[in-house]
Amino acid sequence: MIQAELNEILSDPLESTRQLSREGRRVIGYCDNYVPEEFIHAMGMVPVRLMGSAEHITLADSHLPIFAGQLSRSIFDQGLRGKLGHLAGVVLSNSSDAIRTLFDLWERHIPGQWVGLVDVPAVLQGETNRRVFGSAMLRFIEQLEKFGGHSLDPAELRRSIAVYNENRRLLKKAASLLGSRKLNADTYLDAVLSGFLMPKERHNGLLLQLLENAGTGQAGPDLLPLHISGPLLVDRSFLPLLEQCGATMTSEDLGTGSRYFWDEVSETGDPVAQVIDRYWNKVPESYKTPMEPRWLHFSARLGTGNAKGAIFVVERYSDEDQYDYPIFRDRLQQRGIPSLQLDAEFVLESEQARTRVQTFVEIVKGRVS
Amino acid sequence: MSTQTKKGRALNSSYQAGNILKEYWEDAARHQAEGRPIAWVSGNVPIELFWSMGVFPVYPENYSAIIASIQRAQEFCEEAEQRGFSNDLCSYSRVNLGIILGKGIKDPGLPFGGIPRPDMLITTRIPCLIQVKWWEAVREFFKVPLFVVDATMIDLPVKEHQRQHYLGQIRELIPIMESKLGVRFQEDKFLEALKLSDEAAGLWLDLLDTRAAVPSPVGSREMCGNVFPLVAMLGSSRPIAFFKQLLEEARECVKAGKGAVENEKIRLGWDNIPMWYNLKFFSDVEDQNIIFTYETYLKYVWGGRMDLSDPWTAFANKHLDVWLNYSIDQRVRTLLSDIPKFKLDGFVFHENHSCKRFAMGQKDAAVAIQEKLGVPSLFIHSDMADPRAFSEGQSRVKMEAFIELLQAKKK
Ligand code: SF4
Repeated sequence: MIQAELNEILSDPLESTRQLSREGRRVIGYCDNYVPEEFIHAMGMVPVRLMGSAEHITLADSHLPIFAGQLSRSIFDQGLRGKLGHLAGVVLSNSSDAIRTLFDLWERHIPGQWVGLVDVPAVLQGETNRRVFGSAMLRFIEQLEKFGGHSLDPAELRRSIAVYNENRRLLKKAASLLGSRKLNADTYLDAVLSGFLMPKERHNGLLLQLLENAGTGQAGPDLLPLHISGPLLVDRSFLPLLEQCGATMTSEDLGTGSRYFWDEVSETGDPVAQVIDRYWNKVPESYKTPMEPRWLHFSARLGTGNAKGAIFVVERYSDEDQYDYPIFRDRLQQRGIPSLQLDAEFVLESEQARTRVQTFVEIVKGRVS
Repeated sequence: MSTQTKKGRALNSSYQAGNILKEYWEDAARHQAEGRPIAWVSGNVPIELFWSMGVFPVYPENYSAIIASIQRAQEFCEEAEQRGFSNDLCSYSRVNLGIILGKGIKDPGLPFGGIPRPDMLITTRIPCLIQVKWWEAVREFFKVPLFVVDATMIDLPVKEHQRQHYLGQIRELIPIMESKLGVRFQEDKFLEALKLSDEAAGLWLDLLDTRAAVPSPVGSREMCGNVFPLVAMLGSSRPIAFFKQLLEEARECVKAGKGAVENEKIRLGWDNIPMWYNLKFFSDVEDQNIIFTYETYLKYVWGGRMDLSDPWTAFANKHLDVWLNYSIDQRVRTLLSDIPKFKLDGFVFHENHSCKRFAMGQKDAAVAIQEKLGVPSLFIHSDMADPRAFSEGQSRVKMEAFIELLQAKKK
């Protein structure tokens, strides 16, 4: 029942967000974990994640080189083709040089659509960066208020924070059930991804139902527990493939996973300041430095899932993740944990991926037994 | 109109460039041997600070370019790739990581006896995010302190909050350098370094301006060889004498109507870092009465003028005002004003697989200069250091067709 609903939402992500617009909601597309959704939500809008697509790029190639990567190219292509016309606006950031370029391109080529920019530092340490991080967030609020035509109401923001925190707690619960194998990996992934495409209130309801029913669909005990890492995993065929190869995901630190939802906002004190604090302190993404807190999150997640190996699903041209992989691989090696990197361009080359995953699973199983 | 010989340097002083480069790397080794601190730095770091504090700024990027120019980049790129670094990553970083993780930075087979070991790593996001990630990978190996100077992209003029962001971090960097490297910041020395930097940058920019003359006194190949002191030595006195001589010679050439190429017919601009392993690409073109006389890489990436009546503001402005840190609109505006000034007939965009931030926005710029100025452009897909990304045949065919088009347009 719930799985059917998740399937429907994820089978056509854009259509799911279009439906929200048809319902009269002001829908805002964004694509970075440093976009403070609480502010958008509190302004009465619905933030949804721009997932991009694996579709053939047509118009965007006149503006972006191939090495800008599939995510930015496909999002811009959708924008140019009018496929995002139902969105009231788009919020971009400096999460990569390509996504930052997208902001310039959006302003130049899609002038009818509001585009906001979250321009926070990449360096998450030092007094100055902390102050600038805060003021960049405040500038984003100003952009939102100008666009929304009213100011951000602290009471609304408190309500939004509560909704988002509940969402995070439920997702964390799902992650712990994944670790104890009381929730199927693919159901877990669907549950997380669907949350990017609907109002969080509705998602909370769905998660509650899902968690109530959890415990019935356990993964087979002989499946090898693995940790999955990477900036984004939207290819829903990957986890079934993993299972066919004799393994399952028992933990993850995906950008479209636990890195997104792990940290809560404190519900006491000034709500604006608390939201800013949360984003400053959250598990950092690969495009933020220092990387140590991310490594700690990675290790902790891997430990709770009792993973025997790690697979890094790295988007082609996602330079930040590509630099990190050899570092994480070597650190894991020192702990006796093998790892594999799979290159993705949204979709994992399935036959090639299957062979590589199969070989990897066999090697890890050989070490474990 | 007189001409100079085709194969030699157009400006005699350009022959000094190789010596300056050699001296720099030898000085770096000596500095370390004497027990003084070395920082590995990257493009657009606050260079004047290092020279004024007695910290030798070592540029692995420059070293990678040297490795590329002696046709050895591929072996080090492959070394890095074997160790898990993707071949899509910046080739300067792959060369550097290949050296570090392969036979090491002291391998006697390396130019200038290798690269001195860093006592500290300092980088910045001004030109790109990649530098930050590259330095994190280097830190993993050397386990030395790392400092990153952050910055967001700009539209000119630089905004006050961006300036304060920059300066705030510099104020944090100084005591860290003092405590980690055992050096001392003295404002008078720093201001002196700014003066030297500004003087050198002024000479360099004047030199570039002489190239607006028809015929142009010096082409891209030669100027790419001359830029190094501007990259690595601003704040020291060394670049000043060199640039002064280059400028004097260039001015004389302009006065005498002496061009760098015979019978100059077509003038071109270049965007992005050159292909260091194939600077011949420029000279092959220049053999055909064509001159590359403008480069964004040489004009807007390294040296900028500073109004030293307000030195800290000027220092921040200068370091943030960098092509790679420009928005697309800013890049377009700049090209629209420079192309007529340099009387360019065409523009070549190097779609550099490695320096992605440089390459973003090129397509919009090409459309803008065609639409607004009627100046056509050509895209060459390649890489600044990794020769595997360069297709000689394809590039030559494209360049020939482009030249034909420009010649037909000129008739
Ligand atoms: S990507 Fe470009 S700016 Fe960045 S480190 Fe490489 S060459 Fe330098």
